[in-house]
This record gives sequence, C-alpha cells and structure tokens, in this order.
Amino acid sequence: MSTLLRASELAHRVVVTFAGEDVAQIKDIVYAANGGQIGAFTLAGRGLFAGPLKVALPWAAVAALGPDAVVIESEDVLVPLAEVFAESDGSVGSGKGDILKSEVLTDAGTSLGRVSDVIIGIGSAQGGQADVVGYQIDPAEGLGRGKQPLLIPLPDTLSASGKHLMVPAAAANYLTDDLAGFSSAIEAFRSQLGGVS
Amino acid sequence: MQWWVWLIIVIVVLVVLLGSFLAIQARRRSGGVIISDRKRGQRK
Repeated sequence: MSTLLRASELAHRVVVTFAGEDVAQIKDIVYAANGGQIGAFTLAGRGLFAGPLKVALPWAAVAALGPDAVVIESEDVLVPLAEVFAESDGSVGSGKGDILKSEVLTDAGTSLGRVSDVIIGIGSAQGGQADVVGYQIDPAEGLGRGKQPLLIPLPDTLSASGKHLMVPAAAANYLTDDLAGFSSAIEAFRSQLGGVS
Repeated sequence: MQWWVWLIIVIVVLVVLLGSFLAIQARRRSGGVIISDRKRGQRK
C-alpha cells in the first residue's frame, strides 16, 4: 500500500544530507508526462535572498522522505537541472509546464475544473517509486459539486501534456473530497478501466 | 519642501522597493508541479 500526500506538502521541504548539512529546499516536483512517475525535484536555496538552484534532486537519490525534511546522501547526488528536463521543452527553471491551474477535461470533452494540487502515491518499500495518482481540482461550475476542492483519480497509464489534462470520463464518477479514502477510489477507478496493477 | 517631507518620500520608496523585492523572491521560490517529457527513474 502506498502513502498518499499532496504535492504542496512536499514543496518547501528542507533537503538535508546525512552529514546534517542543510543544502536546499524543494521547489518544484517534476514528473514524467508518460506514466506519471516522479522523476526529480527542482530546488531553491535556503534563506530569504536565495533563488532557484541550477541543480535538481533525482527521486532515485532520495534516501528518506520525512515529514520535515528530505534526506540525501550528500550534495554529490544533485544533478544539473537540464538533466531532468527534455532538451526540447524549454522548461528549465522557467516554470513552464507547471500544471497547477491547468484545466482537467474528460475524454468526452467535459471540463471538471482546474488543478489546485497533485496527489502523489509513494511506494512503501524503501527506494520505491513515487507516482502522480490524482489531481486535486477546484470544480468547474458545470459539475454542480460546489466550490469544495475535489480529488480525481488518474489511470495507471497517465499521459499528460499541454494546458489541458485529459482524463477518462469515468473518473468523474470517483470524485471525492477525502484524501484518506482516496486510495480505494483510485483502486476502484483503475479496476473499472481494467488497469489493475 | 520641508526636510521631513523628503524623509517620508525616501521611507515610502524604500518600503515599496523592499515589498517588491520580497514579492519577487516569493514568486521565484514558489513551487509547482512540472511535466517533463523525459522519464528519469534511475540515478546515473
């Protein structure tokens, strides 16, 4: 069973080495367009005057992900920012490709709302992978679900790009506002799609 | 103009500059969720 958490909970988390050195803080979460696997974190320096760093932290180099800090072996595990982005997408450090506030559309063309956060599932095994398993959305008015943020499960084989995020129409049947019960919504949704992992 | 008028002007300008700097810094450091075309699962 994986642990679910919101991407916003990871942002600004301190990155610390085994030696206790405070090297950076998490800025962006970078995930693969094809599959939803978390690839890396972009980093910002510590302190009021520090800006974004030109290095990134690959997910594979995370030794521990605690509630207050991300632990890494040493600063040597950080890689140049360009390595975590495709050369062609031009998104290095610019914030392009940020899906927050992007519109979520079903494959039937219905708008479900706009992304306000991303739900990440982290494997329980040490060194396990982390995947984007859902979006938190501010519901569209046409949905008739009020203004309370809702969680929408994503299929196993996520494909995302551009300003619009496409989801199967069946995902609208599994909208929930409860993160604790979201795992079962994901499983039920994926079972319906026939994509049980 | 009186000297204290200039003092107030200088203080207001400094406050505006400081506020702008802090706002820009907050924006530069704010987080997001980015899609990358490259799938990077393993450390080199």
